[in-house]
This record gives sequence, C-alpha cells and structure tokens, in this order.
Amino acid sequence: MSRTTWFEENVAKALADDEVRAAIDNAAIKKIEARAAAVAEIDNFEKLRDLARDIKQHAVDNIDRYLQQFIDNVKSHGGQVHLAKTAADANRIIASIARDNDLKLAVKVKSMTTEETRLNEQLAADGVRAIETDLGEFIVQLDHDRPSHIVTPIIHKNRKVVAAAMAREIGVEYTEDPETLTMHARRYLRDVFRRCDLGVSGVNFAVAETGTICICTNEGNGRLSTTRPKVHVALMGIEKVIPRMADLAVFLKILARSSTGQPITVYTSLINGPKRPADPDGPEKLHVVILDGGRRRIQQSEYRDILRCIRCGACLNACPVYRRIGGHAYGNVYPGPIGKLLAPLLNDKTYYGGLPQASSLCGLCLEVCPVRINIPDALIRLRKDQVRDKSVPRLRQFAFQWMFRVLSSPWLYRLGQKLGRLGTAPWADGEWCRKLPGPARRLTKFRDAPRPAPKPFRQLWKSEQNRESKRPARSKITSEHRE
Amino acid sequence: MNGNNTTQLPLIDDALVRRVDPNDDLIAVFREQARKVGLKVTVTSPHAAAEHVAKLVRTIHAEANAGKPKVIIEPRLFLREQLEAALTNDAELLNPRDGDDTIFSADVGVTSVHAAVAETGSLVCRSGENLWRGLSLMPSVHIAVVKAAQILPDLLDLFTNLPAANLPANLTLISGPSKTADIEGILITGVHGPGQVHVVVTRA
Repeated sequence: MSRTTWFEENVAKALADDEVRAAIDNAAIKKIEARAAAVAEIDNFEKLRDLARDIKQHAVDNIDRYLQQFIDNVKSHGGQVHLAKTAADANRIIASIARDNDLKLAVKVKSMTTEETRLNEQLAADGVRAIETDLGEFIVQLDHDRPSHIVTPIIHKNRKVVAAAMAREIGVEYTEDPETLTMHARRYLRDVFRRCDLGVSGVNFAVAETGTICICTNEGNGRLSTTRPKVHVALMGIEKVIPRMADLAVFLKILARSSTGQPITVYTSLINGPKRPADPDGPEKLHVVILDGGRRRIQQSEYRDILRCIRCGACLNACPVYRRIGGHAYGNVYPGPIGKLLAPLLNDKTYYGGLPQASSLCGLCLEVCPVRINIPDALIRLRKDQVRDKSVPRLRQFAFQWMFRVLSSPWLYRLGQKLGRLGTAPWADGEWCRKLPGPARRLTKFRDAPRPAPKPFRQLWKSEQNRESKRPARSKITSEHRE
Repeated sequence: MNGNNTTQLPLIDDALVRRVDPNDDLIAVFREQARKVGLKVTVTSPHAAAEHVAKLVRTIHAEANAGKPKVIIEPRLFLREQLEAALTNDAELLNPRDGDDTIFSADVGVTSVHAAVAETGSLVCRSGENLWRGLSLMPSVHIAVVKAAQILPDLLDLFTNLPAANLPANLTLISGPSKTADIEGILITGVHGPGQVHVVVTRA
C-alpha cells in the first residue's frame, strides 16, 4: 500500500471543512454567473477569444524579440530594467533596490508573481516592511495565511474570520459588517500610504511597442502604490509581453469579463517610465524586474501554449475540483486547472505529480478560458509524461500494468471477474460495498463501491440467447398482434 | 536563445474588435455605460457647468453632515475661476501645490480628463504639467469635467491613437468608484480610491 501524499492529505483536510467549502462554492458560483452575463453582452466574444489567443501565442512564440523591444522602450522612458533567472534572483534584485535607495516601508499591489517568489519574506529579512494593500491580501497577511485564489485571495474566508483577524491584529472593534471592516482597513492603510517609500506591483500586460506597463485593479491601492512612494518596482514574468498598444483593446475587453464579470476593471493604469520633470507627483524611479523562473523552459517545450495565460481566474471558478478542495490544497501559489499545469511545469513534475491526476477532464476550464488554453489536453500530456518518466507511484504503475494484461486476455479477464465477485462477497452489504479492506480501502473512502453483479454480462447474454432460441419465432407474435 | 518562429502577428480587425460605432450617439452610450459601472453622469451646457459642480459639492457636503468640505481644483481646469467664485462660501479651497498631504486631506477633487470612452464608461486621466495623479485618487469624491468632444467611441480608438513617441508617464482609465468584493463577494465602494465619482459632461 502506498503512503498518502501531501496532496491527498491536503484534499482530505479540505473536504472535511464544510464551512470553507461552502464559502468557496458560493463565491465561485456568483462569479460564474457574472462572467456568463458579461460575456453575453459581446456579440462576437468567441472570435475575440480567437484573436486574443492568436496575439498572445504569437507573442509567446516570439518572446525574445518582443522582450527586447519592451526593454529598450522602458529604458527610453527612463525606467531601469533587471533580468532575474530565478525567484531568488528577483527577490535579491528588489531587496538591493530597497537598500540602495534606503527604502524601509513597502506598499504592495496584489501580485501573484511576488507570491511566487515569496518576496515579502526576503524584504523582511533585509529590514524592509512590506504591507499588502489589496483588501483581500491585507487580510491574508494579517491572518498569517496564504491566498487561495489568484483574483479573490480570501475566497475561503467568511466575515467572521476576517473580523477576528482585524480585531486581533490591528486592534479595531470586532464587527462582522463588511463595509465597516473595509473602512477600518482603509483608515489603517491610508496611514501606511502616507509613510511608505517603496511601491511594489505586478504587471498585467507589458506593451513591447511602447515600453508600457499595464496594471488592472479595482480598489485604488494599485494607483496609490504607484503614485505616492518615491520608487516603484514592477515584477513581471517574461510571458506578460504583448506586441502592440492596440492589443490592449482586445485583452481589456476579455480580461475583467472573464475574471469578475465587469466590463473593465475600475482602474487600468498605463505606466510609461518614472514621473517626468514637469509632473507634480508620481514615483521618481521605476524599476522593472523581468522574471524567468522556469517560464523559459516552458516556452521551449511542447507546453508553451500555457504561457498565454492572463491570470483571469475563470478556470478556477469553473472547476468542480477547485470548488470542492479550494486553493490551498494545491500546495502552490497557482491553484485550479491552470495551477495543475503551472505548478509541475514551473517547479517540479514529481513533487506536483498528484495535481495533473486530480481532474475529471470535464473541460469546463477550456470552455471559459479567454485565450483558449487547452488545459484538459495538456493535463493528459502531463500524465503521459509521468508514465514515460516512471514518476507515477509504484503501486499505481503495478496496478495499471496488471490492468493492461488482464484487459488484453479474455481468460484472465474472466478469472478476474470471478475473483472480484468472490473477493468482495464478505464485504458486501446488499448491492454495495461500503468498506473494502487493504489496498482497495481507498476506493470506498469517499463513496460506496457497487458490488460486482452476481452474474456477469457475458453470462447473462449467453443465457438470454439460449432462451431466445427456445421461444416461438418472433414473426408469429407480430402477426398475432395484427389480427 | 532561439525559441522564436515566424508566425504572423494577427491584424486587429476593426469590425471584430469595435463595439461602439463612431456614428452612434456617444453621449448617450457613455452615459449608459458609465451609469452601469457606478459613475454619476450629468450633461450640461459649458456655462452652466461650474454652477453644476458647485451644486454637487454642496449636496455632498449636506449629506456628509460635516464641516465645510475641503475642495481641491485642478489649477488649469477651464472652469476653475468660475467654480472658485461659486464655492467661496461653501467650501474650503485647497491648493494641490501644497503637496501630497494636502491632497490626502481633501474631501473632493475636481479634474479635467484627457479623454473618455463611451464603450466602457471610462474616464481617461493623464499625468503631466499641472496634472496631479492624486486629485482623482486621494479625495473620497472625484468630480470630472468632460467635454462632449473628448468622448471616444471605443477602447480601440483610445489605444490606436495614443502618441507612442510622446506618452505621459501615467495614463489611467477610471471606470467607476473604487470597488472591492473581497469579503464574501459583497460589493463595497470607496475602499482606497474615491467612493463617489461624478462626471459633468459639457455639450458645446
């Protein structure tokens, strides 16, 4: 019997928590409905998706050319560009920017890439306090937790948990009113914005043609964090680059609709370098840190399509698996269907080997993906890789080898049926087996297994045919009916 | 590094991407879309605009039930002098040149726009000389004055006409009041940016 993996343990823990599961399911269903309504507003949404797919695929295929163009243009606006091979490199670069400019208090815009590199920990080690300013991320940070969704980080928390964290950590009066809680956060963070000296953001799109960084947010913390501090650092994966400014018209029409069901996010900021001499406000310095972090390897593999992802989160909301187990179970910053690809491909195929298996391949993720990433197909390819690389657990390999033999030999198949029938008999309860022993135990952990039929289909078929041949001819019956 | 190939960059087909035709009634489309995203729009004549903005300030002040509202007006706004005259008794007028702390303390920021987009009901604000990013961001109420001729039909019109060689350091589309739905998916406005955004469109 194989030991349970970390993923299976996570899943078991998640499935046992009805409250969290209900919170996630409710929020996800709201978002699925909002997306459907927003998408229905556009006549040719399907063709727009095709165009978005083709533009992003072209950009990914020609990533070096567009990155170079982007870098040159950022520099021409007076921005500074840094290339980071690994997450640790990116963190070191950002920490050294803080050190060189004597920056002590960082405000952060919600950014999955900084979650990926665990930037906050590195900054803390270097004496820089980093405060998350997106409401959801702020609460995640207060509660010493991790985000469980790439767009709505506290989808797993209800208002009671939020209220308790805020009362405990920033000393506000306990209240379960979401509006009052939000206003407490606003007041607390306003003071932080007054004092901060470094703003750290992610990037939604990087326009090669103009060296523009596009950031899409709803709360306004993104604008405050890129206006008030004297230094702005933007961290982006290499795959964020798009060729033209006009491409933004395509992507902005599908991003928010797919993500939250809005026609466009409240704030869409285009940043072209640090403040100009005549500008009365804005950061004096802009640093753009471009992270590889395993993306280059994906770009050169057969999985390069997944780099089209624009991180809208639609596949998470749609996924029946995500909605049952939540984001934390995936053990990675990127959960849900796209996470099942990103986690093994960006990091370690063996460690994250359980993720590609945890899918019924229902295809809902492909159906909602604004850039049409064929996630189910890629999951199947990853499973094939696992078999090829022999990174499947030994017991499962063994089981499938035997299954192959049994299914390709009629007499073994018949023997297997007989053994299955006899073997389960002591554990059967009417038509069902509620608990099987030994290695079969896990089959009945979350559901009952049907008891093998007392007579297999082949046998039924044979006896049925025998009975047929003894009956009177069919034509006679029909002629009787006619009379 | 060689992972590149020669696929063609797809053209952006206007007929496919465009959702609002330039011949549509752009004021009407803008008004409808802006209303949907939570902006409060009024259309007025240019000479009545200042008085209309002043009326908004007085109403907001009455609702807030606090002292005189602190109002900060963009220095080169075309109706600034008229507006200041209309507000002398009703508001405390602040000067953005006094710095970020002053802007932070303001209740109302009044700004011009670079453009507006009918398709999404968006205001487009840019940075530049005498243009503070903070005015549309830090006060809890933002009032934007839009000339009807500034309304572009579609996002496509905005992004295809930006001057690539001469872009401002910051260009922000504002499509609604500051919003969050992070706590249980419940929509709350005014989390970090303005909780109210009013648009006064002047029809020439």
